[in-house]
Amino acid sequence: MNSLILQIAARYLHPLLLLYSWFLLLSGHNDPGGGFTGGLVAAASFALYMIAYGVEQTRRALRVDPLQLAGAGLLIAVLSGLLGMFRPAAFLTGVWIAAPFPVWGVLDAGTPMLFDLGVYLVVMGVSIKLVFTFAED
Amino acid sequence: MLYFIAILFVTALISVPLCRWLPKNGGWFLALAPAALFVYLCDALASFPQGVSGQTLPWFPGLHISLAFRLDGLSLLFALLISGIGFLVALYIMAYMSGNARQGLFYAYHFFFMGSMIGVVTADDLLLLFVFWELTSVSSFLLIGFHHERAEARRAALQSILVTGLGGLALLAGVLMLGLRCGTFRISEILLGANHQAFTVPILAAFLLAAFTKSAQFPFHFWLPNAMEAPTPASAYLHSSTMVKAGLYLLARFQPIGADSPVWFWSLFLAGACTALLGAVLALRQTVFKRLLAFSTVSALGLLTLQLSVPHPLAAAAFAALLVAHAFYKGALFLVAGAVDHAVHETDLRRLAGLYRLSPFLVGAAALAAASLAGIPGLLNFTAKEFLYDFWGRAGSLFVPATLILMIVSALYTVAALLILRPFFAARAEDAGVPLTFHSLDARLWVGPVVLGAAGLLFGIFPQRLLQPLVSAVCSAMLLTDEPVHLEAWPGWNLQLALSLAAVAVGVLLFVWRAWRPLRKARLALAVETFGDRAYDGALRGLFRVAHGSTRILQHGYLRLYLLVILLATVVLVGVPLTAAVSHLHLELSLKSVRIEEAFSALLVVLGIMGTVHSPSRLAAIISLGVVGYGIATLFLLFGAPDLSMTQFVVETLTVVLLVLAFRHLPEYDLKSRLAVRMRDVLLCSALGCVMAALVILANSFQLHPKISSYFMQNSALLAHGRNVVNVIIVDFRALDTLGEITVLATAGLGAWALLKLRPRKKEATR
Repeated sequence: MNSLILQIAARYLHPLLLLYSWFLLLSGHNDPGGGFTGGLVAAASFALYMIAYGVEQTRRALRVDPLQLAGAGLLIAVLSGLLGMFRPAAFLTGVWIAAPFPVWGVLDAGTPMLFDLGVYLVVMGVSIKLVFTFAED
Repeated sequence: MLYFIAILFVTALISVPLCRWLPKNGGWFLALAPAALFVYLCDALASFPQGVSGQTLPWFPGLHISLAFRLDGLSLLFALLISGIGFLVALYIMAYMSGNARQGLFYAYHFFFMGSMIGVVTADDLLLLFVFWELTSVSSFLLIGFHHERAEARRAALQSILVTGLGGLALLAGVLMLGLRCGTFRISEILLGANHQAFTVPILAAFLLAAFTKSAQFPFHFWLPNAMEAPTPASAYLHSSTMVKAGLYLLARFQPIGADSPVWFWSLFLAGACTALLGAVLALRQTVFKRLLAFSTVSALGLLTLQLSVPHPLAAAAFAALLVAHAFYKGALFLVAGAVDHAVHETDLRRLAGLYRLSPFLVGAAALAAASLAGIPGLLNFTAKEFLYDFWGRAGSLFVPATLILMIVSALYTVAALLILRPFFAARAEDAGVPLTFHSLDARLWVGPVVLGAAGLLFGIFPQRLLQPLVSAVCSAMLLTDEPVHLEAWPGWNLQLALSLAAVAVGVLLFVWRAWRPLRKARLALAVETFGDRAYDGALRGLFRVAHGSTRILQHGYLRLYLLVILLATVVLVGVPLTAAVSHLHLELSLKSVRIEEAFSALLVVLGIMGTVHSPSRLAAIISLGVVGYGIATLFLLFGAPDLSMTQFVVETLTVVLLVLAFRHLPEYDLKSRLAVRMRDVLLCSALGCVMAALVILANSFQLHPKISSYFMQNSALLAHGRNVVNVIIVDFRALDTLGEITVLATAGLGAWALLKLRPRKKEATR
């Protein structure tokens, strides 16, 4: 599709949407959002980019195969669960650290956030792969 | 034991890199593992009965399954054979597979099997036993199919794993029934509890099926000769001296509680007798060295099974002696067969001759092993057979049939032994084809057979010194008594000796007259030989037919029919229980509490549905469907589920994009179904709508477990550092569920991608 309006809009919306998906992912623990929604927004963002610029260019923009994203996501999720076992505790037990962080105050980070990142990547990867596959042939 | 099993598995893991690094001599290092185990076991035997040792580690504490190992007399006997012969075979592989790029892989399978087999015979937990049992089947499959470029090897491997896998499933069923019935999965507790009602007929049948398939008893004997596709070291190790005896181990282990049932006696006696006779007769029809050995192994396994039919100290002693004797001479003969094949590249006994030129050691080993097979006095097999005659001589009415079976089998073994020995000493082949070329023989190829052959001789001459402790240990384990067993090398002139010698004499006569042998051409014998294979093929074909048929019915490829089945099932399965609960339904309809924005969203949904159903174009229908989704998302938002609503919005958007992209693959948008079909769909969908509405209203009026949600509410920020309860549940409280879900999502994505990519192109489809 060669719509100048869409292309310009996508050029500006795409990074904003990706940023928003990250915001959803990170704020998900305390406010509405989370890895699932975030991943879907990221996938929608790439879908928009694809409609404006075509599959090939989007693939280049993404740099990696979406299925690799999904695989990496699964791996991250499993590894985040294994981290808790060093404590030792059951698989997938959350481990939290509260570390002082400049400007922010106290950074409260834990393995569930890593797990959520895994969810984000799986949802994003699978959705994008399906969109690409349908668009391609 | 756990450490030794772990060491063997680690050895399996390192064998590939080690053999790449040291292609010539890597085997020496690998063979250290079984050697160490063998020494440890000998030490344990020396300190018997203090040698009974156990070890328990928790595995699945919630399910009361533990890594429990126990080393008693019976385990010790098997473990000694596994480690000792395993060590000799490990040395043998070095020479047999030298120069083969896949030598490391062969070693890996070899040690993988060894670890599993040690696990089978030392496991003290029923489920652990089952796990190791299955692992031996898997390693056997890998070894039989080692030359996977050959179709016969692939077929034999598949056949063996299907037959033994059938037994494995039976074992799982039997193990679960037995464990639940006894209230414990610990084998030693079950046996010591001596609950003689524990073995019900179904449990017994399951155990017998497992043991008979594994140990190639009639009518499952056919897979073993086919398994000779495996490289010879594997045949010598798995398919004569160890793995096929796992079934016997199972029977011997559970004999104390199983043998009370008459079913036990009759099935073991009949199956054992049939297998022993059938194997011995069919062995003589074979011309290929390894196949002859395989059929005689089948026969020996039958004799051993026969021996387990009656619980008696003498029977147990005879079983142990025969087991050791068979492992010695059959292992040696297989290794000799492999060495001959390696040096001469010929496997047909009729074409072999003049093998005495190969190596005096190899000839000596072959002679000793064959003499043991024939039951010549002074060798271990003779001692074992004396035991058999002695035991059955006291068995009353069974004396005549059992003795007859033994004599026939012994005579036929003598023929087999002579058939094997002839090529070593005869100068001329029976069927001279291409002249043989002799290659030099690596010493490591004759060390194993010589050690095993000499062991047969030494054990035969000094049974009291060498065999006695082992046999007593086995008897105490199998009969739970410490009755001493007396072993003698030379029993003196008595009836047993006369019977033994008569059998040998008949065998020699049969060998001399073998040209007249009507067996070789008899149609009946051929029919019997191939019967099992044909039955297997038939069963496999039937299975495929059932699979094809059911796939045609269930996987017809019509999306609308799948949907129909799913919806109908939902209506029936949810609707029927709902009718029972409908009396609890408190329906208070009042429009006063409905807010205007809620009504508007609901209207949006209804309008969207109308638009979807009635739109003339597909694009309009898809967009209308999107409107439905947005309406529902708005409802979510209004009722306080922002997470859900947000997800729904994005999912709707992506769905519309996907559907639009899928447009061009779909056929023309048209009304195709008849009025009756449409009415049926309307009815079904309305029913589903009613059921879902009733379900939602009911679910709302019940509060089954109020504690869960309040627990989550209270502990979300406290335990999981998050205030968004929904997300905390997803990534923390119920993280395992989520992990399962994303795994399913990734797999489904992969599957959808593969379906879209792999479907035939239009051109190919129309062709």
